[in-house]
Amino acid sequence: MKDILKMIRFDYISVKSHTVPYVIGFIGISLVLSLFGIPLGVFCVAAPIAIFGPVQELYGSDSRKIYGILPVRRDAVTRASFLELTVPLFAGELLSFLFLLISRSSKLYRIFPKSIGNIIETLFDFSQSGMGISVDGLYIILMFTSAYLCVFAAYLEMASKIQGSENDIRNLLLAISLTVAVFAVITALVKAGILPPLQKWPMPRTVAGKWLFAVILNIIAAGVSVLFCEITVKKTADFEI
Amino acid sequence: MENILEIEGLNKTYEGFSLKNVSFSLPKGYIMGFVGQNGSGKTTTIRSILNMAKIDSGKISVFGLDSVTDTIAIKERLGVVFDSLYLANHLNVKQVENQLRPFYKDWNSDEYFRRIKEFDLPDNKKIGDFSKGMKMKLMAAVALSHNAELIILDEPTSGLDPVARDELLDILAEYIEDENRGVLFSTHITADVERIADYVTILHNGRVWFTGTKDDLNESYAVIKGAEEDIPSEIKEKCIGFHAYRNGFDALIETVHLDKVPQSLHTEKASIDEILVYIAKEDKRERHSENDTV
Amino acid sequence: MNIIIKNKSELPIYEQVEEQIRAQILDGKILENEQLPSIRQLARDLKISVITTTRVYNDLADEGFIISVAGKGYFVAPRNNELLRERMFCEMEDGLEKAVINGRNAGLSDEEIVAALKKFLEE
Repeated sequence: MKDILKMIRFDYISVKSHTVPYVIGFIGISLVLSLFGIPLGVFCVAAPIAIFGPVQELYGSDSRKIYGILPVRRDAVTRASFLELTVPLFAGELLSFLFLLISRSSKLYRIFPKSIGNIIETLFDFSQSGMGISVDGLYIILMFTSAYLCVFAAYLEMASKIQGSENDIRNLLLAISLTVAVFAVITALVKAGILPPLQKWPMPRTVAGKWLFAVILNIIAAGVSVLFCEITVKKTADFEI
Repeated sequence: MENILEIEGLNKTYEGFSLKNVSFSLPKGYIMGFVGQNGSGKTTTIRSILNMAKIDSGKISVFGLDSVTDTIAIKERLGVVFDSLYLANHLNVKQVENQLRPFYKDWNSDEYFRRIKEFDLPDNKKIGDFSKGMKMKLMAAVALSHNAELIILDEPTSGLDPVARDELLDILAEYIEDENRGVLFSTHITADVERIADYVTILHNGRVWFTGTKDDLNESYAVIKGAEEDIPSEIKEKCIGFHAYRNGFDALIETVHLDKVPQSLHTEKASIDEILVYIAKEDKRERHSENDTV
Repeated sequence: MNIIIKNKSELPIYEQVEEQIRAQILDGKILENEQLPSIRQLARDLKISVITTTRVYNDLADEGFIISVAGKGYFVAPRNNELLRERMFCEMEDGLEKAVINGRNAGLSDEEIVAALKKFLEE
């Protein structure tokens, strides 16, 4: 565990000046917007992942050699890289929830002249399903998106570590096509009447139920990424640097 | 004498290249020059010591510890100077210190900054903008700040100007004043090791061609020159990298054969560079004669 | 102690260093009982191999120029040292032999050579 933290700290110092100000700036803007009732903060779901995003790029092509020189266990290096992906993702998810909550309850936009305030109110008033998506729906979409992103990112990390980063683009396209394919199949099944329409899917109705559902979904996503991480640790144990 | 580094029967095969039964050892308190042509296997050997390459067979011990099972404990006490940095280019020396400090139990920040000053490394410049010599000195500063007992240098002098090369020799000469330390210095610029190295290992085509003290090497080989008709055929057979030209010949020869070499031939001591050149020539000659017989 | 190393010399480094230390001891530039730098200090200062400086000190000790004191280091041997005196005598003989040969080559008689030597002794 100590080794993992050391590695995360090492990587963090490398990326800090390149990413952190921008991520914080983005989150700050999101916060301000949500105070005015504009729920753009939901896009925060993907923002923190940018913190460690470019770490490999910064080290250059031979980057991994540093891990061969430092006195650090190889599995700690691998685990650190998975944590650097998943933890920011979950943090992003939490932030998104937070901003959604704030944007719903904060009525700060009322300080604007009435005309602008009205525009904002009509545009983003989810209590009246202004955009055709219910607030419930937005929550669920958010949860699914972040859980999905977590699995997606963990899969790409695994593929990159095992097959080499030169195959990254191929694997990315593969993962995207797979996602599209799954959506297409579901849509087709719904259209054909084999599956019920999305709105009729059994979803928890109570607040507690919704949270429980969210937690379970996240745990599954985390579990899958841990699985991918362990597979990577095992497969790459004998790899050369 | 206690060995700080010991390699025993190391085998490692890649596609199109292999290390074959590489064995040598470096006693504590000395500097070993590790020389050979590019592609002779120096870097693969070093990567094996660092457990970056997985060895097929053989045993490597550093400080008496096994290079595979005790690799973390070894790296705690090991300094590495490669020909590039492997750190994020936009960092400065202070951030590098902050980044590396937690990895080493014996890290000494004061020593690090003292060395940075001594080596004239700028505080605010990005390390990516450092010259090759400055990068080399930064790596040396890191090695000296965690009290490394063995420093491994892999081609640190390729692309270095003469001043920086001389500075590196100063650093090593000072470092080895402590008799509990050791240096493995891989290079193809042999002038660097000619003076300072105590031991020399010559690698050729993945095999150890020579390993021993530098004095032994110097005394074991000589260059002979002269007219080709003056050399007896029994001596000619013993020559390494025999090179004939229009007005004469030159070749490397083991000094044990010198007493049978006629006075009419000129003999002189062989530098490591010359030895490498003759080994390569011998190799080329053998390959040609093999092709001829096929 | 002043030592320079000629990279272009045909002489091995250890012989170059030995020769210069010997000469400086004989000239009295390094005084008797004076402590010499340690093997590793000398290697560091000259940027040469430790094995080379070890050999230098071992050879010089064998020849009686220096003595090794356990735990303290190397010192220039006292002048009354038997070996050293012998060594100096040889050195003198070599010089005289050369002088005589040079004198004869110049066509001088034995008397003239002795006279020249006397002149040096009186100086």
